[in-house]
Amino acid sequence: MQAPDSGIVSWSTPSMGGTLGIALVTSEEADGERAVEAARRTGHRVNSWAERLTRFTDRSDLAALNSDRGSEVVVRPTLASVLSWAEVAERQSQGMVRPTLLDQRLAAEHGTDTPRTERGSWRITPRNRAAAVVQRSPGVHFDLDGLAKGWLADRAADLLRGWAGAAVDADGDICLHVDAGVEWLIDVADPRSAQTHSDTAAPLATLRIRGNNPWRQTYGVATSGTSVHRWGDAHHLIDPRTGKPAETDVVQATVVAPTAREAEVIAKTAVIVGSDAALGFLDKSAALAAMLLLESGDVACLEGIESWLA
Amino acid sequence: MAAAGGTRGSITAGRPLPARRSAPMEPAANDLPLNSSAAPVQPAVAAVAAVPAIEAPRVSVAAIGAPTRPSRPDARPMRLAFGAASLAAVSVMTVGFVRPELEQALGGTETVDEPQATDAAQRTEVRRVTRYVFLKRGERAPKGATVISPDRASQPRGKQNARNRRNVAPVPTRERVPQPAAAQPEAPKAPKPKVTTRQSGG
Repeated sequence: MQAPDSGIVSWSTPSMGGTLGIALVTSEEADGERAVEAARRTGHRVNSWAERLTRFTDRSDLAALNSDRGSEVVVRPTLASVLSWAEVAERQSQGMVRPTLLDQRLAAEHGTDTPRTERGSWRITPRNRAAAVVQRSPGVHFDLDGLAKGWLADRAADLLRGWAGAAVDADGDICLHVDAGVEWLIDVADPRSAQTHSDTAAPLATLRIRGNNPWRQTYGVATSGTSVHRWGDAHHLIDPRTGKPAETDVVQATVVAPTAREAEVIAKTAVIVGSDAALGFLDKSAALAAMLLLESGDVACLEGIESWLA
Repeated sequence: MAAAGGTRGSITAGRPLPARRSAPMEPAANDLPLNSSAAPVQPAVAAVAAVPAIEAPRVSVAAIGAPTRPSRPDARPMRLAFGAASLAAVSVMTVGFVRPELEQALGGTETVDEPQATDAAQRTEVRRVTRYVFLKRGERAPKGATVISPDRASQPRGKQNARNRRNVAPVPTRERVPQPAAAQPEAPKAPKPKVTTRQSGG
């Protein structure tokens, strides 16, 4: 937590296996303490949601769903909401981003045989205001991962709408709220740098998000790639067509979109499908800006990137 | 006596003329009494003066049973309507011809606020037109003009008064986005916070 003397209050906490960061722009000096309290309260809510969505603990709602052998399982609202988004994301990514690839990911992580890749069907149906029912074919297990992070970033930013500027960094997936006159600078980490997680590493680029659009005050920025979570030759981005880690020439994709959850799904799709198909996909997607770092070292961008660069 | 025949009714357009005032008749030259030889010749004037004044009978078409023409409708309301319609048409054409050139000349866009929804009882509509003139780099605003930043220019402006605020549904304001390139450059006053996007587990 930083002292609120610069007009920006930053607050962070360990969350989701990484870090949850919240930054608020204060318009008056007296807002500092209030901003710290708002960030702290929002952070705690995000953490409580994240605890229901993680697969790394047996107590989460997701773990309960995965361990249930029934074909119909009642889930609580938070998990229901993220699964509903996962359904949409699957459609938007043309089937490239699926929440049902847990077994394939674990196989890649542990170097075991890849499970069969035939597509297990599932759907979620609202039951009442408090719950929904997940219907699935046998053997379908869920891994929300980035889908949940983007969703959490957006939800947290919703809670901070009263501030002139708010940034929620859900371990790399960022949702920004910008009022007129506020600018956010987003460093895109360069995965080739050994100090990727250091603030002193030179960024691949710096994006500038300006609050000068009366129609849009919320933006999502997300980065996905193959270079961080690696196990030998394998990585964590599974191509649903093969059930194996995607063979792609895209090392990293950074996308600006209307929401963090959309940016995350689009970036992940761009990496999985490779640069040739990615540019066509990005053109038709909701991406406002996109930047792909290729294996060759080239950086391919969606047209109009100049207006987003700082 | 010919006096009755002398006051002939005149018929004009179906309406009786106002009755003429009866006046003393001057005797004609051959209108002398038959026994003029026996009686001394009196001045004609004196004889006539003795005749009592006879009110001329009012003669109307109806009274005499003459064939009638149906009365035509009054054309004045229709003429008024045609006149007003012509005026409106000319006005519309004038606006159509002149306005685009005016906008081009000003080089700006126009912001039109939609009319406000009002109570059923209140028919008042508020319409305000704000014209933005975008200044190019180096240009100065006209004297007395209020200069605002492009960001503020795009903010919806409230315009309801206290009277019609009740039960008024919010109406989206249609506004064009000012062109940032042509707007006056203005450095944002707020600080520029910085965050980093990087690959995560997702």
